[in-house]
Amino acid sequence: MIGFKSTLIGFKTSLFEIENLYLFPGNLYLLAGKNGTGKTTFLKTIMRTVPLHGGSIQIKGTDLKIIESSTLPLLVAFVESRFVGIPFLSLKEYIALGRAPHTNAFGRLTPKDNEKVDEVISLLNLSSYQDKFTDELSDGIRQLGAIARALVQEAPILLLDEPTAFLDFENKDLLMRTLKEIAVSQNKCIICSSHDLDLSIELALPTLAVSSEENKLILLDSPLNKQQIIGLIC
Amino acid sequence: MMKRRILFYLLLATILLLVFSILHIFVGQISLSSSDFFRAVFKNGNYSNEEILMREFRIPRLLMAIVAGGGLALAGMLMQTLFNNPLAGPYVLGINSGSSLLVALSILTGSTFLGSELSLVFSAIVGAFIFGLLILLFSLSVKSHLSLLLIGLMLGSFTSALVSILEMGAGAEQFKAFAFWGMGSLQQIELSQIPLLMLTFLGSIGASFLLVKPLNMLVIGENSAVMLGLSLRKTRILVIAVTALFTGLITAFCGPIAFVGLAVPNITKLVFRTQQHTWLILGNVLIGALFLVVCDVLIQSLESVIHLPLNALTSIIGAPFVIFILLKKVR
Repeated sequence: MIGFKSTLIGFKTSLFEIENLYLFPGNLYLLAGKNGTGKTTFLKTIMRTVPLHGGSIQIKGTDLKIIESSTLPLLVAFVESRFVGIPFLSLKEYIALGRAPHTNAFGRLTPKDNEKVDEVISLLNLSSYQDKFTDELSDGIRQLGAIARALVQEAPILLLDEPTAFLDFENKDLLMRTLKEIAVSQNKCIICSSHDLDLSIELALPTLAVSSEENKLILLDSPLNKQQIIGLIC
Repeated sequence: MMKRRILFYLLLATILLLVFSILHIFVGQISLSSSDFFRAVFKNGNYSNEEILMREFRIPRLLMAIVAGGGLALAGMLMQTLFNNPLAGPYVLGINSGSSLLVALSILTGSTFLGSELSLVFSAIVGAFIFGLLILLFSLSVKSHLSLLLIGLMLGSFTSALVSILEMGAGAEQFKAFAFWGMGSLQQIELSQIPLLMLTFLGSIGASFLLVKPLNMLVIGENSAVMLGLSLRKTRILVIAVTALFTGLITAFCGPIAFVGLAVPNITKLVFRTQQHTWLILGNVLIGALFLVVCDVLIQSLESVIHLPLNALTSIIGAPFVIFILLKKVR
């Protein structure tokens, strides 16, 4: 699904290298690494908002460089670490914006678009909040809303940049479990950066660790314990 | 439920606009009857004095108020959404300084090429577009809402300095013409210019409707919008171009009008409680037009007591409103 070959990640200088790595659908990958090691840069490189520093990335067999700007949102969806909410924008309208890559030049929602939006809203149990304005919701609900927006995009790849950073323990737990369920049930390839190593070990997530010694991204298929990850990234 | 609220306010604004437009036409020192109005509109030639007054002054002035109010409000909405800044507007960001500068150049230097009416409008639009791009360029490296406004104000001061240098070098005749333009008025439009005015106005509204999808996407922030496939460069240029059309057109005919473009989009959003730009465009045109027509009715009915310049009245209402928004929204 996503293939890396001698990929260099970095903005001005190279932060780390990915030698040879393939990520597959049906998995939730945890992206672990210390602050400043380039986790966000890595995700943004796949989104093409940060240029590729070297090597190549392939998405569904196509080189990332030659994918049309209008096609990329159909392949990859992105969730930022925090959505602060916008006055007078209802949760449902916000989620429906995720259909933008599918709608026509006027952004008109077809019955099929509305169906998808409703489906995702009920999947994430957001029905009772859908008509509330996004600035009046709690952080947890808003973050679920952001994920809903990414899901209605129907992209096979989902990238999340520390989505649990501003959540309490209960919401963190709920969010990670939901993501894992979605990865399996909708056969998506999900990469989620996070510092919550305990939770990922509990959920037995395959972990992408930025090794700070070698400056490389290494895939641990199912890490046995926290020390193994910490040993790598610190 | 939400839609019903919006439709109610759209209807209310339309009715109020109609009522105040009728009031606007018949308020004034010389009283005119409704039959004067209909004869002035439908008769061909041989007009009486009353009909001429109606044709040459009252109707153009009303249309100008509607176009200026609706257009500036819409220009303000476009700026606010593009810069994601509730304090943006064509006046505070110095977009109409651009118009002023080019109009000053064409009037004060008395160049024959730029002297004609059409090219006056054209140079005002070009000026607005250049300054729009300039502000856009600054906005790329400035993150804070307030810094961008300060840059807009500086652009304004810089331009007025340039204009006063131009004024010093100009002849008495040109100086008078420019001073007259600069005072800001709804009365300078002539009957023959109405088609050009209306065509550009309606065209710009149409163009705004074509921008609804990118505008709705920009609400969630540039970064998120881009990741949903928005072409940022194209959107920016188009939004600036439409804003320049509105601002340049209106500034060419009325001179600079302050605060309408800042206050009305905020009022519209507070009343409509939506971020859907289809509704916001309609709302801004109606409420903006209503705002300026009401202002002008006020000016006309107070004319015997006190002469209120248009720009003074909009500033008196608009400036406190900016402070109100600063206190409420931007901390």
